[in-house]
Amino acid sequence: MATTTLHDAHHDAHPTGVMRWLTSTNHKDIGTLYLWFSFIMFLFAGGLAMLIRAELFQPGLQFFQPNLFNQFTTMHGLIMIFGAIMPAFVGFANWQIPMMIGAPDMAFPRLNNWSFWLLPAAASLLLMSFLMPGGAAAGGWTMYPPLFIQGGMSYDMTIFAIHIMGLSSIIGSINIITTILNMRTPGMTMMKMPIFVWTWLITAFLLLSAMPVLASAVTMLLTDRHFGTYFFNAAGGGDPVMFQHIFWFFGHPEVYIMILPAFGILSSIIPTFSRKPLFGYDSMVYATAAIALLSFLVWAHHMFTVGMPAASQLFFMYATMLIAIPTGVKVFNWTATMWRGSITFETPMLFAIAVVCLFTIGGFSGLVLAIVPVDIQLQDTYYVVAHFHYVLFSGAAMSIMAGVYYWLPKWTGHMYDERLGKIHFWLTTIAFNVTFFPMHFIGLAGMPRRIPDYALQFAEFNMLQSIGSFVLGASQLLFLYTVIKCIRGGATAGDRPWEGADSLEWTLTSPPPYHSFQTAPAFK
Amino acid sequence: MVDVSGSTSSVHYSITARPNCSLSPAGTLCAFCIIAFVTLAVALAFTLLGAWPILPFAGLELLILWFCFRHIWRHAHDYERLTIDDHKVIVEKHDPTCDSHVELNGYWAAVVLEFMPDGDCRRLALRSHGKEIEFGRLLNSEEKLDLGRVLQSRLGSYPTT
Repeated sequence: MATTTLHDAHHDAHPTGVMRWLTSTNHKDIGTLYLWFSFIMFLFAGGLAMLIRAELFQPGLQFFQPNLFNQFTTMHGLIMIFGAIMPAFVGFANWQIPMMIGAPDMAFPRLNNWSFWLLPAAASLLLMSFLMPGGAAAGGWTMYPPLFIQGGMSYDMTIFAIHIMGLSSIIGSINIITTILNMRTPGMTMMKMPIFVWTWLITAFLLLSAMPVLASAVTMLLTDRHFGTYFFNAAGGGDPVMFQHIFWFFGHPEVYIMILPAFGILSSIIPTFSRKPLFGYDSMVYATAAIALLSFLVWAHHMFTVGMPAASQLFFMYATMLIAIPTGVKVFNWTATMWRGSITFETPMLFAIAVVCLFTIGGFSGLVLAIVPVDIQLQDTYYVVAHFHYVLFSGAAMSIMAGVYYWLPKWTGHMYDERLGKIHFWLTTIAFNVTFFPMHFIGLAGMPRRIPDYALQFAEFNMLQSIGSFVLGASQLLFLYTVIKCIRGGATAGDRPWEGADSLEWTLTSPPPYHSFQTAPAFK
Repeated sequence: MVDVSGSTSSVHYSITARPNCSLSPAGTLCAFCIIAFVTLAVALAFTLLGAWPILPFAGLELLILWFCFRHIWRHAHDYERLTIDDHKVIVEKHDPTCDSHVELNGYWAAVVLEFMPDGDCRRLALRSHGKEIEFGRLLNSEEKLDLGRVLQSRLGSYPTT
């Protein structure tokens, strides 16, 4: 008996030119589209951050009126979350999951194409809302009523964009779940899957559970705005606090949707450059599942100040602190993987180590914020801004950069310029800390977020932060240059450019063939 | 992706092509039930608190998920089997829309291979008495070509195009 693995014949056609990208059902093409789209959105939302920091360079109003400043903060948050970070991880999922599980493509290639092409439509709506009378939505990325019930047409565009992005996420998640569950190569049991695949499987489950909640929240906003309902409109007996509960029931799992795939990337990179297997594979899987489960039980820690019973506050405080245990397991496992390993410090590993350190700082400041009496003091201050940027920039965005450097040789067939990569790493890491670390201090001292002006006592720190942010922004152009340089040429990358890498994608050629595995790879 | 199993002897040759499914029908049902339970539990809880629009969105999502899982489940038992037994060639195909069983005379059956301009094998078929039966829908170019060569050595060959 011979066992051979082959692929479905309808994938044989290779479209070329523009149609390759418009109609492609190939997982690598769609992964590339996701990654470029997310990078463009990252630059745009980063540009808005630069404008925010320019305004905050000095106290007083320098360039923008408060309403425009609020538009910038709102759209910066929405675009970074829904346009940059989430699509980037879906791009990684598209590129890596089929190659890591020994599949030729995703389970539903045409749905895959559709789930990507919904995103530019949604992003266009968000961006064009700046051109509407009154400008873009300015009610904050959390879309709280009553502001989001009262705004102009741009608020409708934002709501519609969120709907479309949610649909894209649902379709993408279904595709990822079916691919992982049904298309693994013979012999690859669930507990033999790479951790990146595990983290994405759990992330997709989280997305499916959380997305209907977001979709209905924004739908209720829409009906309150236009169809005379009073879900959240206090004028008609509605409850604006209920929106906060619904939103954060989606919003907190969303935080883990943005960080679990990052954990998967770290769990690929750290063993490779430590030249050791990942320490505690099983505990990593269970910790990921535990984080996902707990993420549904902690939403109200975002809203301690709305006024809730002490028992609820205690429950959400302790539940939030509980998340530190599985997260700590992960940090411990990464550290133990590096312990006595033959570590080398190529750019992906530098980013990975920085993520472990900086994300841990973000985790600790999260624990501080979990303490109810402290949170009541720090609510809506720059301490919160510092916390979530340590989680989402140094956790998620820097993991994305680590992943790009790690898999770029596989994707392009060329090695990236290591010197430029390291310069990019040091600029990003130093500038990030210069930008965001002082926010802990000014937050503790009481500087409120989302305000374009501030007291004179915060001037020095704000100037320092703005300088750091400009360097951080400019260094991402170096990232762009390094990636483009690598795509256009460079030293030829072998099939396994990192000697410690051992998952299935490294058995393919660099760059991989159009259909990843036409014959099922041997898997032990 | 398919698993191809074949056994050879001087009088008997059989090859079965099946899609690779790492998820059993029971596993499909289990995965769907877990997702449906969590999604509906959340939706029902919010509905009881007055936020009923979550329910239709959850239902819509589960409907899409159900169609996708159903598609996988329906195709889990697809197969194509080609058997050469004495002078008979039997081609069997099974998928949700078609269940066919065709017998050809081995002395008359000829192998047809069609190629793409780049040399890839596009189509493998058996021809007899003016009729063609395609085989290898689940195989890739290389596998079709290998199988075509095996069949040509056991049956007659037909001019390729």
